[in-house]
Amino acid sequence: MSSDELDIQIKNLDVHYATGVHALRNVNLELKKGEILSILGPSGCGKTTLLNVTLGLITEDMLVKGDVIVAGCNILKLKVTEKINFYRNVGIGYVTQKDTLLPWKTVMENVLLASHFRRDKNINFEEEAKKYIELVGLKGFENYYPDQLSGGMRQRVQIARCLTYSPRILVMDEPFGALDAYTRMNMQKELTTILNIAKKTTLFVTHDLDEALIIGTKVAVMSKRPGTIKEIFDVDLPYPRDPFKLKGTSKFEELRNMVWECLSKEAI
Amino acid sequence: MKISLRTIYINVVRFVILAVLVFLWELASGGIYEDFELISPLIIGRPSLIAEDFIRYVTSDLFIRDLSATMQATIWGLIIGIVSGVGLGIIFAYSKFVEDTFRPFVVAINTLPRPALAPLITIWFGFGIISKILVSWSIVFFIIFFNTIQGIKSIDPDLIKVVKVMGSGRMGIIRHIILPAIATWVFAAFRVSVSFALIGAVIGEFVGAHAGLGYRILVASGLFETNRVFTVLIILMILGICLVKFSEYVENKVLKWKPPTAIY
Repeated sequence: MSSDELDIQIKNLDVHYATGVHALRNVNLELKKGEILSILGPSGCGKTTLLNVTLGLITEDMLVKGDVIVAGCNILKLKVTEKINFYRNVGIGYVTQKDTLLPWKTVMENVLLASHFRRDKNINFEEEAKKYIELVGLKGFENYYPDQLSGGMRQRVQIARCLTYSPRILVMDEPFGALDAYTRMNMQKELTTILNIAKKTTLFVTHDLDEALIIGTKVAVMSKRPGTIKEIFDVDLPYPRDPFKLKGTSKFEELRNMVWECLSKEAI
Repeated sequence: MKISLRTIYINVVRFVILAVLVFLWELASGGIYEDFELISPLIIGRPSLIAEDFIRYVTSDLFIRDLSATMQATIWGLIIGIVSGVGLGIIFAYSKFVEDTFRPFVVAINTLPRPALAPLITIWFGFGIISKILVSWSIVFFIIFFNTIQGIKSIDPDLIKVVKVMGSGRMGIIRHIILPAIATWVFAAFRVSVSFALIGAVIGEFVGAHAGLGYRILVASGLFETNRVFTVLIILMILGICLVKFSEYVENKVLKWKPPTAIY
């Protein structure tokens, strides 16, 4: 496969922490443009570390070896100012489990946050913001503050925020982890609809097996610490997906059993 | 605005309680029957005489002089306390070296009851306004300083990560995250600080002054002018309420995203 087709390429990645913890061991991963990879693994296996390294968010207590090539650029080799320019030029959307909306900004101001840092003349931020606020079902809430919204609504604002600046890559770290079961399934359905329209290369971390299968076009199972990619499964199910209809179908159950067989050996 | 029956009822009860207390006070001090004087008005004052004195005092030049001295010390103590508290708080929060080096000194000074410093400050800076401003500042500074540090330390690192990944540099992080986060904590401290700034100014005047509301209390109590002491206390109370209401107004205007604040 030509490296031009790859949006994310991780080669021989090893991460140690200053505390002596060996977080990741020989991780190799390739993600083509538009692919959606769910990453599953037991708690503490290094999923979040893998995302942080992929995003270039390296802290002083991390010792990182290997190569992380994102959009053709080795993110581990970039200096501070080069990294800022890289983020501005490539565009990476990052959604966390925790609510990272700025409480002092309204929904619209939060969604427009990236417009302060990016000077992409091809993007009409106001129009994009309106479009994605509507797409995530929050039209009419533009002037609300995060405190006035429910947990599910806040997560949707986060998704709208990172789609507004048209990122090439989306990185999501258990974005629905704090939501109740019903809201979570609704959000999964909405996200697949959005991703089907927006066609973003996506890394999606979760420890919910069903969620991994619903969101991902591929599912990577990680081993326990030090984490490595144990196996990657293709999820050959039509997109967008509706968890309310998908669960219980024979194809879904078959995939679920296969992934579970692999994952269960890693569970404590 | 619709006023509920309960609000009317509570206000009536409040008024009745106040009226009864004032009546009993007037009665006990011999204001209603001269023969029935339980305690001398020299000791406890007398409401009717306090009312007379209040009008006399607030219409005099003396009041303008005293009020001006106390307000100047309060406001300057507050302004300098906020500016220095925020500035040094930011330096402490971001410089591990400064924090590690100076933390024991800050903790030691903070444990001192600041009014105890007032005599020393007066010896050093004299009976003028500077010593009152410094006493007021010494109280306000630590409240703002610790709240600024707390504000910065309470920032969720994930907020900064997300904004960095969007392409923000250091200035963007300061403008969009750090300053608003500090503002939240500083305004919470501001509400408390306005009262403490007034306390600091009055304490400074107790120790040594030529004018001011604190100085007027000291002079009046020395001369057994109890009614004047009560007059000045009422003025200080009104002043304190006005300052707190002003801080609430400013906070609600600036921090529009927070639910409105109201404290007594």
